[in-house]
Amino acid sequence: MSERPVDRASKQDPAPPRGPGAASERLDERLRHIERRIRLARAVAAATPLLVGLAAGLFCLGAAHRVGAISDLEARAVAILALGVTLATLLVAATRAIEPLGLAVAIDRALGLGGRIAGAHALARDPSPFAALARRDAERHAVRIDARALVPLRATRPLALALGLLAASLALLALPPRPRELATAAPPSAAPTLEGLERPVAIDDDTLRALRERIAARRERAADPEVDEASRELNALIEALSAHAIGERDALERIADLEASLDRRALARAEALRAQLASDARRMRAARSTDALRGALLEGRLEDAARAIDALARAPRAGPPARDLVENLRALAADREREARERALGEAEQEEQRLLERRREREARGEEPPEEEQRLLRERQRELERLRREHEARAELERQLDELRRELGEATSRMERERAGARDEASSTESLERAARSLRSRAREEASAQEMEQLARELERLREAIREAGAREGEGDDREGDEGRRGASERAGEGDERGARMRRFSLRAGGGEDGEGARRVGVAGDEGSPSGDDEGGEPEASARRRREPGVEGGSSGGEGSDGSGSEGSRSGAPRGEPGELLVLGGAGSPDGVLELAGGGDRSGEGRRGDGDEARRASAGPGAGHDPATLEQASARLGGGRQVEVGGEIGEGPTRSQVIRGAASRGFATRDYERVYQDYASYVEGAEERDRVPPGRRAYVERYFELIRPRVGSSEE
Amino acid sequence: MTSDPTQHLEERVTAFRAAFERTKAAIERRIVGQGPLVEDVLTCLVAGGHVLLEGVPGLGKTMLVRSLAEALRLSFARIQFTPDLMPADILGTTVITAGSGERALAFRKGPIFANVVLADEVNRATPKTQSALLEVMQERAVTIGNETHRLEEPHFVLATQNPLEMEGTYPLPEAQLDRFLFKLEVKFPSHEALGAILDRTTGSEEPEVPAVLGRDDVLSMRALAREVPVPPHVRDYVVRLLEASHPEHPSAPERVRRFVRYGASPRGAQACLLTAKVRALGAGRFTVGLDDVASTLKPALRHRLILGFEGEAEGIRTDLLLDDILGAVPALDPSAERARGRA
Repeated sequence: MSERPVDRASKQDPAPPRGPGAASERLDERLRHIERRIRLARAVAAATPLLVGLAAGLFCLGAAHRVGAISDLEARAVAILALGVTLATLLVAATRAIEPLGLAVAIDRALGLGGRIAGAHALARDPSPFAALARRDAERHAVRIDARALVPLRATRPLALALGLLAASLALLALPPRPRELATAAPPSAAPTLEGLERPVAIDDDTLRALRERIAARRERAADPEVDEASRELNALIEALSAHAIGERDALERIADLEASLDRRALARAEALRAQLASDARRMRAARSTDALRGALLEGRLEDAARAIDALARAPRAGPPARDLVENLRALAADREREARERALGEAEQEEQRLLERRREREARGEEPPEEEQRLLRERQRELERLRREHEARAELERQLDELRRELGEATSRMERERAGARDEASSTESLERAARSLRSRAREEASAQEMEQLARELERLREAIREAGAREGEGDDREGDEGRRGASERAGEGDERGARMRRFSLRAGGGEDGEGARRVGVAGDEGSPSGDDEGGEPEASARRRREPGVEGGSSGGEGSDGSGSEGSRSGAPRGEPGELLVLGGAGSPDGVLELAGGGDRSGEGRRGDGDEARRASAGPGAGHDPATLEQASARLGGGRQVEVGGEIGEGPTRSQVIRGAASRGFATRDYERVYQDYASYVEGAEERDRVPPGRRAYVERYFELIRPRVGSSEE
Repeated sequence: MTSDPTQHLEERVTAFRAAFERTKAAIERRIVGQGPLVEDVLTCLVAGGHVLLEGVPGLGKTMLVRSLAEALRLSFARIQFTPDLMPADILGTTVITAGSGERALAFRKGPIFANVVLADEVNRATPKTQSALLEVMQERAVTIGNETHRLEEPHFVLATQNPLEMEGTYPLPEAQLDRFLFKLEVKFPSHEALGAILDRTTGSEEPEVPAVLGRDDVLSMRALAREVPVPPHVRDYVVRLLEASHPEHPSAPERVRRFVRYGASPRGAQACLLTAKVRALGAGRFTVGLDDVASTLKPALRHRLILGFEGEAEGIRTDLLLDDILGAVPALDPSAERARGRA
């Protein structure tokens, strides 16, 4: 090897030899430095969303504290908790370990060092000279790494915004709550003294009088003994207060006792009511439609019960008994509500009257009514006015609701009557339709039979005319005599047989060959005729006359068989062999051939040839019928529809089109089968001549097995 | 020379790199626009493997091999493979000699005994002849009768084949393809390279390739390349890449599972790592990096993946599958990384 590169290399690298351990330590130190930098960058990256969230949270907290929604203590606790969570997350991000080898690989890739750092790190304990060189080389590259450039720390705009928001939030938290809120807070009150509690309560006479009167009025109205008793106790308390015979503490205690007593009574009443409702619910029928109502009653949910009643009322399928029950319950509930409303209104009116009388009395005495009483009177009047308005509005609504309910009931009854009528009408309509179908069927059969008879008569007349014409020709020709007649008779026999074969063949032939087949039949008949110019000529002419391009199936079939009709009738050849197909074709390529079972012609042939049995036995095309008649009869009897099948003149798809089409449409076409056979035979030949490498033959064979034409190819 | 082993080693590495660059520059005096190809061929030469060159006719495959032989100062032989080529035409045959009045049988060496052998259009010979060549490539020895003839090192076979013409050819079976260290695809040159080719080849003077490297140099470079240490994570990366080429392995990408019948053999991993060592030395580095492995994966494994029928039918290129493997296999094993983190 040339020494020149070695010399040049030694000049290029004059660095003194160093121990491998020192290089490794320096490299590790460098890696640790970059690792710290990465951790810091990771913490900064994690801090941005964390601080944004923290600042937003603290801002909300400060706002809540500012408006007094939360106390100082709560605000501080939540703030400290949020700060702690944030700091812990940042700490985890900053202290999470970084795999040194992964870091080295990342540095290599970032700086394009070709694995120097990672290799040196991985071979840190390898004592070989190569490993030492690798470490030294890596250290040489590592000192050039700028950690700041490699891992930049940038204070992003979101981070700055988050810090600003955080500062604002902390400032908001530090502010005291608003003064207004302080004023609304409970005023600091001096602790009540024993003397204050024992001092008699001084309530002004007017208030006591008003209270007394209200209680008296309540006692008059009260039918419930419990209410009466409670009112009495309250009255006694008022009397004691007016006599200044009771201290504040005693008064408060008695009021508390009275309230507790009232609560107990109210509770007992509520229990009794609930038990009553439950018993009502149990008495209700166990119907699914009343489940909701029953449940609501059992649980004492009157609002839900009312809604359930409404739902029952709206349910269209509710039967008469359930509807009656619902109506009764709803009326009951409405009556109770109305009574309660009227009672409240009456109480309010009485209260107003009392206040007005008292004012009049004072005015009569020349006294000025106390301000408290006037205020009470104004409130009562306002309350009364509101109750009156509500009462009127509710009464109006109830009236409208009753009206609507009545109309709904009438409409429901009307609908039920109409539904019953419609069911009767539908059954009668069905029976009428059945009768109509039967009549139409009979009419069709009748018309077919008549047409068949007319056709038979027409054919008989035609046969007679042909026979007469043949006899005339035979008499007028002396040269042909008996021998010729015998010969003609034999040829005619042969011609008949051949004609029958050709007819069958023509029936199987495709569209373009259909007319041709008819012509061939005509020629065969011509050879067999005594004159050489009668029966054969007529079918041919007939076929030519009646042939039309693109005629539908029934017509074409009739045409072909018509050409052979006269021949077949003489030779007695069977017509319409069972299972034969009527083959129709377009004028284009043979690919446009469409094969249809001769179902349409079957009926015509059956009636003509074999009578009643022919309908079952014959399946071939019709013979000896006018195509139009045959077609009509077929259409009527078969109940089918006529479809015009037309071909398109062209050369068919090219080989490449066939192959491409097979790729998209599948391997089940006749064209593709032909193309495949060509290629498969070529491949077989190539394999036999060793033109396919032995190692690839299996692939080729497998490939051709995969693209083999499918079973259904002949059907297309 | 100095007594410090690292200093001496560094000098050898520097000399390696310089020799590599010189040889490459010498070949590129004649071969234009095929820099990576020349580098890959030289890598194979230094790694001690054989190369299969595949490309359409006219891209300079034969010219490249001829230029290499001229640059190396080594014996060169060219064998044009044809269907009627016989093994004896390659290996040599025993002939009757009439020296000093007595007749004797003597072995006449075939062209395979040259240091650099160009097997042109190797897929045109019959499998029998191909097998003879490939046996020699593997064993580096020829046995005729009872006598074994060792081939002189370095022995370097460059075979070419045309991917288009399949009629009348005998494609190399996968087992024999495995004998080639690299399969290199000769790409069509760029616009600028094509212009330079026209300038150089249509003038009156043909560029000459100077001989820059001798037999000892090549053997020394081979020895040095084998000394390069491989970090554990790089070796692990090679193993994981190879495993991912097997369709039944859990780390195999989806397309590998679908289109590959058999993955690469261990010989593929050897080729990948050995050539990665040469790459590292050629770049002036002392250890193998992950990128070295990634860069040698395709030429080392593209002919070792055996496609299934679906892959053949779909015309899947193995380079596509190797790209998938490179994308799917992480550079560092996550499980090993976790274990290191726990430690």
